[in-house]
Amino acid sequence: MSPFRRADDLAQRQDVAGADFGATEGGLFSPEEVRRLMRIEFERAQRYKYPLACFLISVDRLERLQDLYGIETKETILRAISELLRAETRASDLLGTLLDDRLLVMIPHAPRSGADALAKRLLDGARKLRFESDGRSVRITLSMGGSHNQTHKPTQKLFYETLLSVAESGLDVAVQGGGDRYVHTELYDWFQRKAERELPRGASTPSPAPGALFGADQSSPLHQAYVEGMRIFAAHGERAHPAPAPLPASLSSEQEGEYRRQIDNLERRIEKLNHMLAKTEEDLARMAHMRSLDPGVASIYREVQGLSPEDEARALKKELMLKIFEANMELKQAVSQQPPAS
Amino acid sequence: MSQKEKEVTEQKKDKGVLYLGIDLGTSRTSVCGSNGVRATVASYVGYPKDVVARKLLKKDVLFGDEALEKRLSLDLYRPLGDGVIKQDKKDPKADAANMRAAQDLIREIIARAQPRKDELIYAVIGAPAQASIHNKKAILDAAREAVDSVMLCSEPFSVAYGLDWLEDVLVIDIGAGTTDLCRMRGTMPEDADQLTNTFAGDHVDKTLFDLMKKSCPGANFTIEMVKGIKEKHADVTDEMAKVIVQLPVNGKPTPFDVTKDVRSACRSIVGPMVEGLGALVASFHPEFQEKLKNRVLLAGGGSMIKHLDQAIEEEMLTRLGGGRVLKIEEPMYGGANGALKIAHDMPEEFWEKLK
Repeated sequence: MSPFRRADDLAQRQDVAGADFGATEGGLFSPEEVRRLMRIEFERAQRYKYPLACFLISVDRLERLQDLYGIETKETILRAISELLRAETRASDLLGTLLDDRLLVMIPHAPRSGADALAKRLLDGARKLRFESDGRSVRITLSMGGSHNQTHKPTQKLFYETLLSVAESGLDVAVQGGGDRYVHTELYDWFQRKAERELPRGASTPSPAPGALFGADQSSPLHQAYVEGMRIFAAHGERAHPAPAPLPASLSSEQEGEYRRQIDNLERRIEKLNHMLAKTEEDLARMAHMRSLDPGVASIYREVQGLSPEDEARALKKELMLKIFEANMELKQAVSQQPPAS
Repeated sequence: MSQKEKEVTEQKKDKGVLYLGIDLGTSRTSVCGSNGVRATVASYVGYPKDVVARKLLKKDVLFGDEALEKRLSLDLYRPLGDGVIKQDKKDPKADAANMRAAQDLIREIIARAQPRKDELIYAVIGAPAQASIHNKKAILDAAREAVDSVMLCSEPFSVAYGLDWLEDVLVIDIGAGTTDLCRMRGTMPEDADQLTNTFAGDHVDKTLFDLMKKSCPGANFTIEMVKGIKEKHADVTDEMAKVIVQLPVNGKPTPFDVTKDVRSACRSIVGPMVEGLGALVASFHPEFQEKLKNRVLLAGGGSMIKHLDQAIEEEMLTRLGGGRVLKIEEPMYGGANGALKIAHDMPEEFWEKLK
């Protein structure tokens, strides 16, 4: 069996041919190093308010290819991808690996449109890569999740974790959708709230009541989501749908995991719908502006005012108003005799 | 708009009354509304030169700084000159274009006040006293399209009215095209109460341009660049901060010290201004001349020249034996604020008759 190898011209590039994938020197940064550098870059981008895009990339069916073509397959493919990344990105962009063979790319000073174009180039580039083993041609595709630091609402402080989580959620969607695609989920608010919830709570946080659902931990996100759901049902007097049955006092870890997944999915869906709604509202406002449907700003007066009776100079001002009016009446008559303006 | 549609629109105007005060200036046009909206726009109007430019700009008309910025793709107009709508009897085409630009500018400034369609709109426009009947008609025609009733009034008068200074006051309104001096004596100013000269903002720009041509050899600059330098550094004192500007020489930005030039150019309007003040003071009732000299009100964009009030006082001391000059707080909106106050104080029947 001949070894799994690159079958295209790009394989001969010298600058990365000998790169030791996963090491700092000559190759990509190690997972620890890349996390540290990227966090620094992210903080800098937030401080100086410049755009920064983040990609999380995985090779579709990589494990399966490794099973089929041997242990060296993974390294050959990942090296080819890193080579592609280096060719398509700038020297100042940060490339690195994460555990489980995913690649993380951080591109400073890249607007959203530029990031989308780069993602498209990377997908195209991966499709053009050729490998062969035993005379058989092998092609690969990528799944990519993206995020951008200037896409979320500027009023909120964006966390580094949120940026990664959004990219990760995009990658999940891309993989589940069959791969060979780039997805930007825009679930910033949802992950932001999640990140805030997961921050260490202060001493003022009320302690959970004994005998609560999900064991004794009433403050768990799962319990809070359930309580919130019940509150919404009660607030809307929902009669068409039956109220959810109370959850058992204790749940197995499997059941709890299932509930968590469902809540996560529902929250994501809500977030996505909210995002779409906000976008539609923006579009409507823009269209209204374009069609001059701006309602304008209301005056503080409901009726014609005139001089105030308390004005000390009322008599003088009254006389001045009369003179201005007379001058304008004269002007009106004079103007009416003029030919229309061209 | 058909008669029926017009009637429907008019019937709906029952939700309130919006007063607008508009200051139509050579350099800037400003509006203040009784809805709290204030807006100012540089008095430039631009029309795309061709179909390509129109497609690129996605607009039929551009105004203010946006028009200046895109001027290479536009036919650019500054429709007001020397305080009035520019007229060129030799070139009727240019005359008509200026008139159209002025009308578009008035429509735009009214639109920027964000009026509601269900409110009556009454506007007072501070127009130059020396504007011709042809000019005034153009202003009124443009305004009438967007408002229910409109009046014109003299600019310096509206400044004084806005501040409630109606008696024994001398208003100096330094615009871009003209400096208007107006004597307020408790009644509407007549022709004898008003003087106008062209020693104003544009004159300072031109003087500074000429001085810089001599003092900055090899530098390449335009009158717009000079205007920018003036607006940033204008001062008349000997102790003014140094003005170092970067001007291109053979494409390379080169620093030049233009402190003296800026000072000299800004001072060039002081003499003629005090001369005009002297003429108005001298022809006033002798018993009230002293009071008049001590109530000089400095308004208009030109009043933003640093220490100009002090320079005028010094010149008045030499020529008129003294005097006191006060700057208004909001030079950019002084005229519009006054016009808004006039609109507010005008009785309803007057507005109705002018509809």
